[in-house]
Amino acid sequence: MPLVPDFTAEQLSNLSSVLVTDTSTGSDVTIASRRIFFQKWNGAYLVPDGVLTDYIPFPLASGSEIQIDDLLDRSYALSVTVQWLNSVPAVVYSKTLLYGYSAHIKYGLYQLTQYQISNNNLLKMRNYQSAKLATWDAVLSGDNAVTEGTDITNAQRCYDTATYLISHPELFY
Amino acid sequence: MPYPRTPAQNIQIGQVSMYLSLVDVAKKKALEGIPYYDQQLPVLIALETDVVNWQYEMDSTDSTLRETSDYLYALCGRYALDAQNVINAGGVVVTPVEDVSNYLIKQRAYPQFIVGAVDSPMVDGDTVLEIVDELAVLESRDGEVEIHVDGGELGQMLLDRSSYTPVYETGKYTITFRDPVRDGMLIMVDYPVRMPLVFTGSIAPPTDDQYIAVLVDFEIRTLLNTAGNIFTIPAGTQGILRINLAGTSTLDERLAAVWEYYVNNIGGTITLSLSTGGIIYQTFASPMDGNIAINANNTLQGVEIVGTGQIGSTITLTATFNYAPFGI
Repeated sequence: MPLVPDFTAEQLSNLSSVLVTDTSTGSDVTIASRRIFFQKWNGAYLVPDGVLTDYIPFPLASGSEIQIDDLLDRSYALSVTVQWLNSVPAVVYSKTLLYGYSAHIKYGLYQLTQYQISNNNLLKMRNYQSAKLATWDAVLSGDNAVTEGTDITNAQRCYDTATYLISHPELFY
Repeated sequence: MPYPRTPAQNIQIGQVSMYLSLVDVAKKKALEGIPYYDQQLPVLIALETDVVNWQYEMDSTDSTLRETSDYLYALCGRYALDAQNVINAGGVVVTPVEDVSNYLIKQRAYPQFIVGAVDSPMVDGDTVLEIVDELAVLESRDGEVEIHVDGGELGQMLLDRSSYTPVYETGKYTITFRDPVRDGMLIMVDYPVRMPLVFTGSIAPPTDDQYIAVLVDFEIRTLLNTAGNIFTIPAGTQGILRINLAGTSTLDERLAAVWEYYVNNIGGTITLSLSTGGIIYQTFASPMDGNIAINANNTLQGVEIVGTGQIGSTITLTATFNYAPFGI
């Protein structure tokens, strides 16, 4: 049975790493290597420091999983492409999925919740309440743009709005 | 005293409380014509539930979840207790035979043991204890896991001292100790179980009439009480009908639903107008929203719930009705 390409690319709890898992079925003996591309809304590629190519190698020797560290320094909507190549190397199979990596913002919201425990009246204060709700709305809208709209541009706009709100507490909270 | 609720339970309570507070806001606006004093509360509960749930899904062992989920519980205020009643409703067992059964939640003592002794379930250095009991139930305000080691009680999920974390699955508790146990420790564990009650003879259990249907695969059935009837609406009345529904499946799925209707049976034809309601909590892999229909039945002069099952499982639906006629 020929290879049916598929993968997942999940953000890990340390926020900056992504675990890419090759979930393909079938097999193809001509496949000699794999590559991963993380592309932003503006077409630029995201790679960890020290990687000089637009892609991150995913050797067959790594098995079905590879953890890519120090990739995400903030929340991104990324078009993730995995390519399966033969020995030339030429692309034999390719698959692209849109992912919303919004954990940085959500962790920021969680930190605010922790802060509220010892400052119980914060959530009742109008500015704080409005800012937190606006941040939450923006990040959920970004997630929806990815899952429901497959819209990388608007997803990134929403994430950028939420990132700005959560990163400037002195202005908004 | 260990906390009675786990972070997962607190998150569940938040999810249901969000709905209950939303209903309250709508009712106060519609029926009393006054704005609820804190109209933002449902949104705030939704926000904090979402945030805490995200962290739980990222890392369910995160030590901060104890505090943040307890904060969420506190934020839910009075809705938290109502939410627990809704969530726990799925556990009521009624056997529709001559004697109607119900159950209480009781603490059961796991046989005490000394670490490292002959036949002890734990040896020096172990951190996990599994308790398998088909009657075990999830921790709630009615019962919780309690552990004593050498006479001193351990707390749950604490960072700065010995503690433990209980994880519940159907028929099993997996208890993970923060620090490895040592030879010679005397360990005593209590955990909540449900104890069926059987009423013999003519003694009737003090319970609301329940309407039940058991759906095997794709069966379509009407929920009936033990007398085989649907819920009747007395002729010549109108009022508010509140329906609570709980569902469980053999795949360990659960649902909880609440509806509120205006009902009119003045002329013998029953009309139903939905005020608010729906499924407020479910873990069914295939959502049950389209599988439950609530209809007026003029022939039987009542309101019926008709359930449709799902292939591959047996679903038990249990409902209670509360009808408050207007004194007009």
